[in-house]
Amino acid sequence: MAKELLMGNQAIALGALKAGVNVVCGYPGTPSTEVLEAIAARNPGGIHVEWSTNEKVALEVGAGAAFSGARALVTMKQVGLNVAADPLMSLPYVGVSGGLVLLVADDPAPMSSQTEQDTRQFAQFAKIPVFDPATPEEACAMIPEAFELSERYRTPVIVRPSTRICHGSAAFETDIPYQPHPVSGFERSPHWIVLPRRAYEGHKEIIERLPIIEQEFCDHPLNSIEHIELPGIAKSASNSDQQATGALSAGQAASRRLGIVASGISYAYLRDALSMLIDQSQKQVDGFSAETELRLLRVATPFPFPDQRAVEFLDSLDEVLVFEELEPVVERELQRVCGAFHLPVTIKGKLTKDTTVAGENTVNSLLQQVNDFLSTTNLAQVQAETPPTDLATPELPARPPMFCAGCPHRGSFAATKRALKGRPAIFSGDIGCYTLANAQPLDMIDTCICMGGGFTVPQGMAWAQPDVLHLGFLGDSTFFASGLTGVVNAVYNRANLVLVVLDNSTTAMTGAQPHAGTGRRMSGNDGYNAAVKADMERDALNALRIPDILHAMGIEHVDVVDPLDFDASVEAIRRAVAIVDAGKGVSAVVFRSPCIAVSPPQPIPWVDPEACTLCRICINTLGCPAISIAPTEKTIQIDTGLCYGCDLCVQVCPFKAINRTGDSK
Amino acid sequence: MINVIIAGVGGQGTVLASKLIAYAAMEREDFVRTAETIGMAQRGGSVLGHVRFLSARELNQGKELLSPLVPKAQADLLIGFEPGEAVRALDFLRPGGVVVVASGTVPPVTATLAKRRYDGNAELAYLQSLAASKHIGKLVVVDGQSICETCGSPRVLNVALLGAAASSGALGFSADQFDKAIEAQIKERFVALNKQALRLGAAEFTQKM
Repeated sequence: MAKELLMGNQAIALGALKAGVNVVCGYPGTPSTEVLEAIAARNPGGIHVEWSTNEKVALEVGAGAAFSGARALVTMKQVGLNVAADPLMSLPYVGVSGGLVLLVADDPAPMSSQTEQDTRQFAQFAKIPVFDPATPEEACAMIPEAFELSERYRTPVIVRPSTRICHGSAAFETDIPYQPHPVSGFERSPHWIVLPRRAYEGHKEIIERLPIIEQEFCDHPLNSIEHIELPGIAKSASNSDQQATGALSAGQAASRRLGIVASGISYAYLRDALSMLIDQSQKQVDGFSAETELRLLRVATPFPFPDQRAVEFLDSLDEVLVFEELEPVVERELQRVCGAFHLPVTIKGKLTKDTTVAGENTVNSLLQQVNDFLSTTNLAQVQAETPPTDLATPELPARPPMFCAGCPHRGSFAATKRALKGRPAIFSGDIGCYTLANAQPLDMIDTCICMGGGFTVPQGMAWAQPDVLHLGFLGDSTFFASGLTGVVNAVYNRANLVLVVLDNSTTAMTGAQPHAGTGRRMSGNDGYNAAVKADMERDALNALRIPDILHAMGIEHVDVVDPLDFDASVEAIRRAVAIVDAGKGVSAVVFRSPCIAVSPPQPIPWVDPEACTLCRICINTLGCPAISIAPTEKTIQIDTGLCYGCDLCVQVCPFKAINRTGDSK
Repeated sequence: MINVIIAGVGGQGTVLASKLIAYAAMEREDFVRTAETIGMAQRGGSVLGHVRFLSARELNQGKELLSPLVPKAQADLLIGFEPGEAVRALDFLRPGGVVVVASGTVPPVTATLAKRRYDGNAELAYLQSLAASKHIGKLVVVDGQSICETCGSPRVLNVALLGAAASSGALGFSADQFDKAIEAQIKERFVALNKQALRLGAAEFTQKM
């Protein structure tokens, strides 16, 4: 059987198939998105897979399925769990019948997120068991296990991989037979109705079951204690240079009994760092007079915390160093265990600033921190030389993320900027590709906090600062996910501002997922792959129309315009602003043009070198990555590999130097 | 264990390149891990791919590979899809490691806005001086543009670089090892094109050494 290289998220999908999952729902969010897509792609039929409107909706749909005895998987990123917090908090009280597993991906050193929050803390807060995998293989195996635990104790369970696990790949056997979990059906019971009296009973049930789950976790093979021989470490610590710099003497080092704890992917980094240090020790020519034993504890279930396992690990140790990403969850638990069991062990980690306090861990950061903790001299040999410093490193151009060439958002923002030229205005943004409008040369997004905030934050600003023009921006998927209530609020409370929907017919930032505004679905009669290619006309019948919704919510002035038509877009913004200037309340503009990920390229324009004066208006207005200065340094040039044929540069060029294909000179 | 870093700009085909290396290594029963940059940073930003593999023999000796990320100063091979990104990722390279770099640049908007023409010459000169001082063991500069022109597609730069990387010896296997992976991972109508780019890339190395 040939193996396939699978990304962690695809491996998690395999785990769900192995578990016979019946219903899968979620909302896209990096780094979690591919889990649901991979289940849809491998759906043998019979699994209901949907992109829900948002994470709260997804969790409630999943809960309903689990109430009916189905196995339900709900996927989201860490900030999505904030949106789903309301049902999350009640679910442990009412319980489940079929297994309910939440796959919540954390994003340390945020690569695509607005916070460095830690889902393990959310699990503690909601009193929900949580698994913390160290590799894609473990993440895959934890899914069926989580379903079984969920059913055994009638509780939702969280599996929390982090970005490097979600987007790290390894080889997997993919020939998994899918056996659907038998759905027992809904049985009426007072359990399902979380009335205040029931909440009190439910709370007691949670408090009773958590110690039983903790007992199970104490015996979990991944909550392992290991003993590592460190040849030469104590010997190295006797090095007189080290004594001079204040390091421990050999005697002290030998008498110091040390342990290291790791959780999540930090365990993988720790194993790598230790084998690099040990390899180096074995290469040393000196004999090893003393050997230090290092004890390792790996925590794969941070909540409920396996206290007895930790006590066994901590017994007779002097100092312990804790590696984990995001919050010091395990570190605090160990401090608690030391207190509760009267253990005289010093716990070091983020709280004591002995490990990285924010951002992600790396093998290199662990090498340094383990080295400091063990007082070894091996590090210098492990860390190879950096490039010679006598050579001046060339100054590299900054390469921040930006709108793709051909992105319709470029037109929306450039036209808005042109329409408001010289006028003070505040642009509130939201979560999506369009946040990138804050980059030069557009330089336009002034605020961004969360999904939906693009329509509500400017309302508050407008009440506080009515003499300034306020515009709120959000995307089509965000509009359905979190924008609707903000529109109602603006109309109801008679706010005075322009609401702009950037409708590119997809959820672009996360890799082009369909949503209610496209009508396309992840499962149903048309399946995922067919759905992507589905006939647009038939989809349009199912699609919810954003302008109609805005009208229905009470906005009278709603303009729909193609952002790739520059002049029409400038006019649309001017008309919408005139409504607000006249004090007539909310006006709306819907910029509608598909993302390049879901539309074919158009013929690319050509540059007339005689007409181009290198006035730089195209560069400074659009900041398109396909436009650069030609080697002659007399004209611009267009990268034909990048250009998507949006023709915005043709429209902003005042000298007719950039021409559409087919236009003659 | 072989550690590879792939450095480029979002949209240049770096993800497929790591995938092809991984499959070529899996073909010989190696144990593989990879990691990619996905999400917001992909939009025209710098992207890094990590590929690590252990041979079956190392695996049998009890060696393990848990982390998908190549530690700093441990990469045996750095594949730069353009000169600036190769230099940006240099601290991953182990002393004496191999650098395969495409000479063509992807000019960032920041440089265009700053009225600075970025041609990659300073970056290539820097790499060459590091090769002269033996910090870089072997440096292969690949004229990706002319290979793409010969093949008639701007999309084969990644495979051309893999050809050069394989014939440098840094992967522990020859360019032919990529054939099956290309057949399995690339759409049928582009397979011949990519195999041609692979061979042209491999020839760049032999010509220049």
